[in-house]
Amino acid sequence: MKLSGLKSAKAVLHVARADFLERIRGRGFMFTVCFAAYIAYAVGSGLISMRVGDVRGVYTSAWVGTMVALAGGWFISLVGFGTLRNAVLRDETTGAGQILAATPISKLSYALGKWLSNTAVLATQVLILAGCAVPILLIAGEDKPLHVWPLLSPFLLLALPFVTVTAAAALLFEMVPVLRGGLGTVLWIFLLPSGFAVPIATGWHWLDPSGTLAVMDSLIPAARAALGAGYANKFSIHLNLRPIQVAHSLQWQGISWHWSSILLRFSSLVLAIAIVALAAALFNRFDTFTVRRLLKTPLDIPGAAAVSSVLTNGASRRKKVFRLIPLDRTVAHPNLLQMWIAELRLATKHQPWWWYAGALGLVAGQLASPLAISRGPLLAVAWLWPLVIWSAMGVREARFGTGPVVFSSARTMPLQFTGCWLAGISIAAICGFGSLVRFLIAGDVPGILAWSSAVLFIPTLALTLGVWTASSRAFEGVFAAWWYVGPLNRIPGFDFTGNANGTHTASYAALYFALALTLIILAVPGRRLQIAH
Amino acid sequence: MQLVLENVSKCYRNGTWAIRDFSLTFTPGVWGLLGPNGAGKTTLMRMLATITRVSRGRILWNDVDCATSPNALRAVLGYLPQDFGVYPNLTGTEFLQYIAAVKGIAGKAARERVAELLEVVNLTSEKRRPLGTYSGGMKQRIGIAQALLNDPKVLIVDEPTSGLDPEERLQFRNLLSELSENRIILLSTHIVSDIEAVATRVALMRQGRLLSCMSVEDLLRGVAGRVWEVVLPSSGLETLRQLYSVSGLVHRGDGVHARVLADDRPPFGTRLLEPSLEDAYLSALACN
Repeated sequence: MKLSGLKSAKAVLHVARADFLERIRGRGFMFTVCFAAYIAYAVGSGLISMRVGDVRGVYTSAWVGTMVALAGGWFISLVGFGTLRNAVLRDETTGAGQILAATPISKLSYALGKWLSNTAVLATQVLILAGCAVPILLIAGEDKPLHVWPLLSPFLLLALPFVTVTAAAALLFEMVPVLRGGLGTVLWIFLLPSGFAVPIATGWHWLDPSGTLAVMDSLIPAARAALGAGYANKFSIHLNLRPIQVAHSLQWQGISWHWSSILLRFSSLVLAIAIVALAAALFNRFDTFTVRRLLKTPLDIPGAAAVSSVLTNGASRRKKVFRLIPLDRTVAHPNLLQMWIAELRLATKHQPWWWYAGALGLVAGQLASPLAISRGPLLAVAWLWPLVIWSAMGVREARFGTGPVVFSSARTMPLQFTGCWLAGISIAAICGFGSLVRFLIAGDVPGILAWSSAVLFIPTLALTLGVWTASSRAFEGVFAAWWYVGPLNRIPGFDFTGNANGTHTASYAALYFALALTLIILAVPGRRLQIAH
Repeated sequence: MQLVLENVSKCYRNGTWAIRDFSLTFTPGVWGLLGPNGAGKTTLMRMLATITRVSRGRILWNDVDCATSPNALRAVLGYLPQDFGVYPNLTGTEFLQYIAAVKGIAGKAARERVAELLEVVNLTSEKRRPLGTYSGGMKQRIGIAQALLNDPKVLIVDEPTSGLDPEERLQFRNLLSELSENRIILLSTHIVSDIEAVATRVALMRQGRLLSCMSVEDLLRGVAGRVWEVVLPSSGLETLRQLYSVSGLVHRGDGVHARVLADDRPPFGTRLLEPSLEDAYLSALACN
């Protein structure tokens, strides 16, 4: 029996409402709120800026609104994407999915509800950014008075349509089993820039989720008029620690929105709904049989029958006598080495053969390539490769429900927690081993320091975010963004590999050591909360 | 060897008291914990397993306060939670070896222990299969095995037989009986017959409080001469329920055979029955 139109709409809203409430009441939501606030701070402090060529215009209401909305939309899509991808997973792990699957709700209604919830989460971040844009403008004090529409319209017409597409993509990635984990996050890192590049290259306004083309159509002519012939039609959202020069002649008043351009922005909504429809088509409706088939795991368990036959054999049962051999308590003592190995095995156990082959190839590549390549792209990729392994740190017990068993054991903090941390560090060291050898051969002390600090920093970040958010999504989102900004785009300071840090490599390494130390100190109370609450 | 609870209370953040002023001393033997849903059994178990903090009062393991030194108890604790998970990509052997490492059991001893326990829970033939492919009952048996890894002095099992078939349940009862010597075993379950089969003492709980704690014999003695069998047509059931506490019903050809708790003989065709723990449990709850 299918639900009527009105009932379906109600069902969609209820799925969205329940999912949204579940999210905002979790600890992870505070992370998304803080992240939005941080992006606003980064824009306000000039760390992120909107440029025309090498300069920026006067901070008018339109400039600030557009800059915060574009940069915010971009970073929210980059990081928020990772944090969103547990809407369906949550229903699966909590068992609520089984209940929903037995109701008449259609796959499309369910997918629409989850998409609305995803959108609501990202829209909350957009709202925070919009709220922050006001103080940014007032503190800058370059344009008085404040113009409400030019300041806030970019959030409504640029950022919001953009995040609807991100929300839909996050849902689609959840519905495709192979894209559920870290592989999906990595793919998104490379897919997202195409959302900017494709419309700019083709001029297709209808395929411009971020609205960058709409901004460029308005801003570039204004910049050309203000800056003269020297301006080469360049436009960018920039990340830099150095202050930027202001072109006082450029006082951009924003996009002149008219119905046709507003309708074009709605094409993003159409794109989002098309993606949701595709996600709904791929949704397995919590049919674990489908998942098992995809994982090539037989549902019919031959061993179960064997065990059952043994158990139902009365004679064998009567013969069975349970007598535990007393354990020599001298052998039960803290053994960090053993725990470290156990955690390492647990972390790497489920990786397919190609993961090991890839890691091996990257290490070999680091050893064989010129130093610049070894410490540059190869080391960067080598430290993205174990993303899925690191993102499980501090989360595994909550995800698989083994917490009560693990945490009721003696000395969990010094033993299991440390073992887990060491395992993460070991994986970072192994994957970047080739570059370390190259640094040692070259006698590159700053390089060795940067390498060591990153080996500590990455897994510590994973562990800390894991224990505090109880989800791997936070680390995947933050690390993906960090990796994109630092190692990929070579922004000094953000590049934890040290490759882009030039003469400041050693000082940045010291900063990453300090960061790692701070993070591990923060992780300890988080773990204690997990152990006993 | 004793585990002492002194006025233990647990209050959740919303102000709800899950446990109130619970005092009891556990000594070696099998202790059954009985109570209706929401009585606080699982919360109590979690506090004893040191994974939920006590809001008020103290839990002492051999005079050591578990709030300040939880490792003293954890070192000798085996815990099978009501809801627990496994790592689906690990095999049965690998999972148990991992938990053994967490519990600080070294290489060879761990390997031998794991092999022994897999044999005990009848999973030796399945030890190389990923846990993700195990049935519910098999996972439960893995849970039982992990609880026994460190040869625990205190074994806390919360609804241990859920998911087990009748044969497996019987085996588990036997296992608990075998283990009960020189060990404190706390068994919480809804299945009264499990407690009846293995427990030496029973603690009754309701709304977070301890109602009574006595031996099974004393509990049964309390309802001796008060359990009656009433045979009546099914149309008379409603009236019977209004007048008496009914602890069991069986539909037979001659009508409904009802177990009735009453101080005096009910005015129907009746005979006196041997009381069961279920009768005693319901009687105790009704009295309180």
